[in-house]
This record gives sequence, C-alpha cells and structure tokens, in this order.
Amino acid sequence: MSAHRTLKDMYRAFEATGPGRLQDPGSGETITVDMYGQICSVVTTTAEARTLAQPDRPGVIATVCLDTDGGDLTLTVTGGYNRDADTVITFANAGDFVTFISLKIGTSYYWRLLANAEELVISSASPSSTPSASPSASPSSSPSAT
Amino acid sequence: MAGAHRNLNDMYRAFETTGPGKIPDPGNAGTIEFKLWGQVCSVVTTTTETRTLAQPDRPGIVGTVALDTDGGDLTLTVTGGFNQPGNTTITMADAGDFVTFVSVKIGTSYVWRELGKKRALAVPSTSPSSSPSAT
Repeated sequence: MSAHRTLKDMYRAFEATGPGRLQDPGSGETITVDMYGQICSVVTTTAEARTLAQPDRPGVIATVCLDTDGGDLTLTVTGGYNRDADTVITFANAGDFVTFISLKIGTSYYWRLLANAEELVISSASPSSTPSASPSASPSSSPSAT
Repeated sequence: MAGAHRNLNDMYRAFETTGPGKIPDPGNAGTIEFKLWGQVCSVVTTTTETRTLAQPDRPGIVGTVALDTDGGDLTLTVTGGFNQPGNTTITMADAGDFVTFVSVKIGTSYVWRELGKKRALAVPSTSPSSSPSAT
C-alpha cells in the first residue's frame, strides 16, 4: 500500500527534524526551497530580513511563517510575488504567514501568493497593493493587480 | 525519516521539466484532467481560448491551472462548479493568472473548490450571486 506510505511519509516529513521544515537561515539570509511543501518558521530577535530565492520549477508549494516575533520580519520575494512585481512582505506578528505556489510565466518561474494571514501587512514596491487575505468577491472586474 | 525525505524530494522532482507534476496543456477547447496529486497545468493561449476542468473522482486532490502565456483570454469551465452557488466559469486575462483547487466530497459527488487564486481574478458566474468564496 504505497499510497498509505506516501501520505504517512508526507506527514512525518513535518516532524521536528523532518525535511519539510526548512531551517531559518538567520537575519539577512536567503530561504531556498528545495523540496515540495516546505515551511520555514522564522524567529526574529529584532527587526530582521530574509530573502526568498526564486523558484526553478512550477507547481511547488511553500510557506514562510513568523514563528517568534522579536521584531518585524521583512521578506523579499525574488522575482516578485504578483503581477506588479511587488517583492516585499512585512510580518509583524507571530503567526503571520504566506503560502506561495510557484508558476511558470513565459520563460521564468515566480512565486505567487496562495494564502496569507488576514492581517498581514504587505508593503509593496508599487503604491497599489494592500491585499487582504480574502479573494476579491466581486464577480465583475477584470483582473487587476495581483 | 528516510521515507519522509524521499517523499518531499520526489514531490519536488515531480515538477522538473518532464516531471509528472506538469500536466500538458490539452490545447484550445480541450479538457484538463488531474490524475495525480498536486499537478499544475500551464496553459498557453494564442487567441481567446477555452479549457474545461474535468470533475474530480476523489477528495483531497490539489491541482492548479495557470495562464502561462497570454495570447488571449482563457475561459476555464470547471465541471461541477467550484463554489457553493455552483459557478463554473473563470476567466484568466493575464499571464500569471491562476487558480488552485482542492477536491471535496459533497454528498455523493466530488467537486472542485477554490483553494487560492490570483487576487482580483475575474470570476464570472452562472448564477447572479457570485461571491467566489472558497466555499
């Protein structure tokens, strides 16, 4: 029953020392997702920064979460996380998180927001993006900025 | 733990260039059928085109449809609907537009539900009350 083993292994991957847990690289360092579904739980002791490396394939899901809030976490998403190429997300409180999915757009791969904490502050490179967590409920609009 | 490590690594490798995580674009008016967990279909349009997403046959499957190259709007028809009002149509107007679905069992049927999408993605509806919540 390899299907059972697969789900069990997926579950076990997120145990304390499992490969699903991507180590926090520390202040000023880069988070590089190299396995499917990884989560990086970040601990800050003051205002700190991390960079999320650009993906190299589509379809991968990954999460960055502020585990312990010793100061705001500024995450720079290489390549941008929406159509406006916004790159900066600020995590202000423990429990703030963003789940990304990688997509192929033309000849490059990018992260896109799949879900995030509702109150998350997403400061942008452009003036227009203060996304709330809920998808736009309006059925009428043509897609605007991500 | 070796199995767990192998699992995530295999999952990651599944999305390499020729990996099974990538489901080929069936082309204009074609049907996308997710047959493996977590697959992504990167659609290329050359003009206004359509695709149909086949209804799932089990719960718990995650799948993504993305507009890879925008040669024209992509109208995706989700068989069985993607929310509680039964909306079936999603329009992707720009490269990078995407929707991630999860399959759920409702009564005796399996249907897709929206798990995540590009914000502000246009979701025209078949019914008048179309809040595309992830119901």
